[in-house]
Amino acid sequence: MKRVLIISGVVVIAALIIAAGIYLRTRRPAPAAQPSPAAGVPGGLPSAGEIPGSTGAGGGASTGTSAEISINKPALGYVVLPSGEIRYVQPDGQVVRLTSVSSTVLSTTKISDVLDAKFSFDGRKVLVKAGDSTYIRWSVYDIDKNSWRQLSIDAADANWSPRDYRIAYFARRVSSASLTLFDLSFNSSRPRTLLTLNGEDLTVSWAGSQRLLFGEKASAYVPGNLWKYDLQNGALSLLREASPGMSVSWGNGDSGILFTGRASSRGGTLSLINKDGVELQTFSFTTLASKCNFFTVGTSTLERIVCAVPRDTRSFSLAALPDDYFKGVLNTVDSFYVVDPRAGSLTPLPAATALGADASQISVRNNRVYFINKADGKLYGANLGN
Amino acid sequence: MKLFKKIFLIIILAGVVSLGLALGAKGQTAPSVWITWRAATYTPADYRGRTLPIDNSNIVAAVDVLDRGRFVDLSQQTIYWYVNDSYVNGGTGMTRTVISVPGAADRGGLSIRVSLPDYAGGIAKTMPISVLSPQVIIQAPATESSNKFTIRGLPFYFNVDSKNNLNFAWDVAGNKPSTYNDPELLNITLDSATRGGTNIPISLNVTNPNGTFETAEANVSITYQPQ
Repeated sequence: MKRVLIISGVVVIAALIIAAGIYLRTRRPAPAAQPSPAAGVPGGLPSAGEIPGSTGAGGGASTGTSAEISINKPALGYVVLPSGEIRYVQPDGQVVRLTSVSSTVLSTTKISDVLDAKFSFDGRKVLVKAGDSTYIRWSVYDIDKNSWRQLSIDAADANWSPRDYRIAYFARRVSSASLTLFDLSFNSSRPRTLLTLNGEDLTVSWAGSQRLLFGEKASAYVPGNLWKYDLQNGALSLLREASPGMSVSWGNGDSGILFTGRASSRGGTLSLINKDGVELQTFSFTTLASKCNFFTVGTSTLERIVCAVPRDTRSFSLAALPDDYFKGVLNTVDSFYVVDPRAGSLTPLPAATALGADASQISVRNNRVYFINKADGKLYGANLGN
Repeated sequence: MKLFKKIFLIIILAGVVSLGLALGAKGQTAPSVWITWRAATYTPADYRGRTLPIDNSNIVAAVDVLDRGRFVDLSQQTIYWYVNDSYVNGGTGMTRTVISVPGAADRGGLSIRVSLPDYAGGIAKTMPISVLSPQVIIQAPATESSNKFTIRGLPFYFNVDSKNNLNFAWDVAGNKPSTYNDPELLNITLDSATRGGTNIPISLNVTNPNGTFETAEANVSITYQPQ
């Protein structure tokens, strides 16, 4: 009898452990009970109206040596290599290399109606989108081979993996959309369908090299969902549901920046989220996720965030976001900051701020912040430190 | 010894109940219904935002269901579609439908509802969609130092496939200039006598000749400030 009881006890304990495991696995993680840091609170970030160095709307004065225009021509997309070499795509589709001593046109091929250009993680390939509202053409330029390849894909948007030559996009079908990966390492490669949905007007981005985030295109006027697809095990999960204006900027780690519009269709909030969509911190300043980017310094793996924050906080909070910004109804003059999410600190970047730019495509390389000024389409650079 | 047996029996019972509840909770994860849609209105090809509907435009709506970590094949499911609580379409495998946005009486918003009465005991979802008006934006600098410059006029949310199906009417300080290949782009050359500090009022009216009341106007003022 004693043996039976002991065996029963062991079985019960095992059952309880299994039950607890299943429960923990299936429950949705609760949001972190972290209050939004307020100005003056130790470790907190200053509120949007109290950003250090803010001078209100309008252009800033140049500080001279630490900030300058890097390319005195409009650029649609760019990359800065560790060597300091800059590669960029002109609006006519030509690809140009710029070093400290020379400027070289790598691809002389002109492309009509170029809409967008994105460099791969290492700057050796360029994905170019061209066309009009009725027909979109995609091509990729291999800088090492000096060759163009036309891509037979029907997609409204496509994005490079942050660590290799795969692109992700939604391929449009007659009555469906396929989440697709296309490895552009080789000319013989073919697209690979991951998922087929009935969904309409979807867009996909990378959250690290093994996760994709997808959902509806963002608008302040309609709610959207944000889904996560794990490339390693095919797991799908819903990160955010029924929120307007959502857009994400992701680093190489497990956290990203999420902009969410308000139910009033005006303004929005910016927060740091983890890979499960759990909010780690709500920033007390506001900007679009596309105006922020993650970066590391030297050999450190700790990611910091650089953000361009509109100085005219009132106009920004009254705008329908991101709609008004993308249309050009709202243009911004930005102040630049480095956010250390662990310390909760915010460091102003006066050299970049002094440029008085409306920043997009922000990146950091060799202790300098680079961005394209939406106002003139040109690439600017400024020292991070001062 | 009897007390010992009773305690163990209670523990066994508690364990079985816990296991059953946990497994039950896992099995009862509700399916997620996802309505997506695309408005058939015009936006510029480089616009990164969402294309939104206007009165009398069409929307293609689609439904997906996520259940147990996978999107479900709905081809054999009965699906019903409703707009503002009125039935519009339905049938087996009707995963998408075309919805005509009603006229001005319903401006401000639509409510699309999809129902799958036979799936998991019946599931449904409602999606609000804002209905906007056509819009036009003039992209131009506040000040201009050159006496020759180009500005751009961008129409949004017109009920056409291409900007070439719209009428662009530019007005520059009372003059009615013509555009050439691209109606969006207007090249402006100021008279050599134009003084610094002069404000140049510019307006653009865009109309859909095939759309009732589909029109929008934008106004800007550029200050000529030669260096």
